[in-house]
Amino acid sequence: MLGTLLIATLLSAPAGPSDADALPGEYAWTVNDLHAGCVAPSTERGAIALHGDTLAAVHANSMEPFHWGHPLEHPPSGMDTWTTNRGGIVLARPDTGEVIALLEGELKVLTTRGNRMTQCNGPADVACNGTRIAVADRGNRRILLLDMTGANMGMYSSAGEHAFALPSGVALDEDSTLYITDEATHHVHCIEADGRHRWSVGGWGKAPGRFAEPAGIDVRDGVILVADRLNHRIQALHADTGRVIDWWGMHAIKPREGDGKIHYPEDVAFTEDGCVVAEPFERRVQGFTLGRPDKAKAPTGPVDSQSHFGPRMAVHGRALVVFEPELRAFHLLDLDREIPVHTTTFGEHGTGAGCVQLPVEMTLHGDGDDYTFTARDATDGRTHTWTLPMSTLERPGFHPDLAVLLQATAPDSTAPVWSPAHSSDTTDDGITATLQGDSTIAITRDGATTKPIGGHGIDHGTFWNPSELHIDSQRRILVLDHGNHRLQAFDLDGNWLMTFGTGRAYTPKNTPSMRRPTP
Amino acid sequence: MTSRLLIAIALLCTGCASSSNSGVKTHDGAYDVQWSLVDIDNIPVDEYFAVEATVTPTPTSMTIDAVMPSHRHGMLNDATMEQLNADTWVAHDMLFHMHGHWRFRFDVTDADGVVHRAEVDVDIE
Repeated sequence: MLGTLLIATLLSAPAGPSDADALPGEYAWTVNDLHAGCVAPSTERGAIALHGDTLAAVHANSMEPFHWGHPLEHPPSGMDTWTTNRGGIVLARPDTGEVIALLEGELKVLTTRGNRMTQCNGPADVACNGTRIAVADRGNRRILLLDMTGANMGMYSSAGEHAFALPSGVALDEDSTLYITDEATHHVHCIEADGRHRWSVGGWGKAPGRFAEPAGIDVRDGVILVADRLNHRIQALHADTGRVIDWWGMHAIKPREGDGKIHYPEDVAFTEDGCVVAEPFERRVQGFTLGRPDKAKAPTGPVDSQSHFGPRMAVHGRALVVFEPELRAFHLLDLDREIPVHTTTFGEHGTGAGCVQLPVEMTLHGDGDDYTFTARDATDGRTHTWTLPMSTLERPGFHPDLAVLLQATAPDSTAPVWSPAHSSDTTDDGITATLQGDSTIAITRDGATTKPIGGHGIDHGTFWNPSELHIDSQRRILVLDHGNHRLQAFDLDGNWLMTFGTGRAYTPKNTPSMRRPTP
Repeated sequence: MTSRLLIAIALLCTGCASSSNSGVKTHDGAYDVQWSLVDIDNIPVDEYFAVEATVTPTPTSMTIDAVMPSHRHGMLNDATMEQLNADTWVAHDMLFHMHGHWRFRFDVTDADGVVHRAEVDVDIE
């Protein structure tokens, strides 16, 4: 109640430095080992997040299963998103397109997968205010409105002149005003209950009021909180105008830093006494109470030499291409070396040819040492094609002009907005390496499978949310260790060979202790 | 990349960032782009200039832009495209705001909406 009063007081006061005191920004607590991309407020416990295969109410360091009265046919997964209302829960499942309401003891499946009036395609977020349900229907590039029985109450494919590209977050206030984030256009929008466009703010950037892949959003008492994913912060906006009130977060310089530092926030939700932030990259939820955030330690950007790799890569012959979301660019590494060499970086931010915002399908082709690389952009469905003439490389090193853009296809709004991860690969003689669970790999040879290799951690040879696996032409198993900002290589017996990226590489020769801090 | 380098060498041999009726193919070889500066012999620094380009075969549309590859940025403003006839365009308000290595981009769009890119490197000293 105190938080509600303080935030309400904020609205009656002119915007100024004192506003930040009434916002949740002071670090309070962390709960680790939660693999949740979504958080929702829990009146009694602070937040509801995913723990294992069940939803748990979390606060400080205690967790309790959240009981809704009905078991789901399939347990919740890290892909699901949910919201709470009237003691119940509304769950959206990207893989099935289902929106499931568990309200007042009754379970209803409200949508199926598709693009019709009551269908969804990869819902990214869901909000409910007791009379309406709003769904960020990412795959159909729209916001879908339902009543509590699942009947269609409207759809929006734009906010004023701003067409939705990939709506990623949605919030509803008590008056059914909609607040929407779009991770592709980096905007936040407001649409009133009668459909009038109230405001749109944002655009790519780091300055307050700019965003880089905004994700989850919540609203309470005239204040909006936005999870500004690639800026590693939470921004607070006035609901009436979209004007920035404050921001906080402080980008973690290294993975696993916390205590108020935020790393790839995916969702944010108001609680009774502050807010909670979901960071699936760090497998944790952090809680904040009312108070001024500590910004004194905030760095201006990453300071290490390793790259913030995205979760996808392509490997063929001597070429490895991996995307870096913060740069909106691809790195090419030359695998024809004992230590892979960062050879070029190509692509740029924007919307034209050669500008890929969210690659969902990356492929490499070619014979010899000359390759063709294609990437499809989920933002607009365009496919961009570069040539990578690695046969022209006379010496190892960085060659800024190596990649040449050949073509970019026309936009295709019907193109899929996701692609499956490449989690298994097989050599010509039948040895298979596979990502298992969320932190190990297994190697199968002659029908026998090794015990799991790796494990969850930050040391060399362990993983943190590994996202893809390939076997290269030198028969090395390459693992994109996404959550540790690095790549790792193993031999086909599972022995760790190296940790590498665009900067320094670590091998058993130059890394005497396996406990050495990771890059 | 070959066409990019050849043009760059040609420009350096004939003088600083000047051209007249230079030709370049799109990287995929689908289109020829003949381009020239309008009413000037050399590209000025921090002054607006115009570039004219004729494309063969006739495309649906084209845009002209320029970037500084090593700086990973472009011009501070967008050029304004004017179509003179079916295959010829002029880019007005081109502005190289600093010395250094620049790259013209000629993006040619075909009837299917596919963009084909030709590039020309110039050094502004």
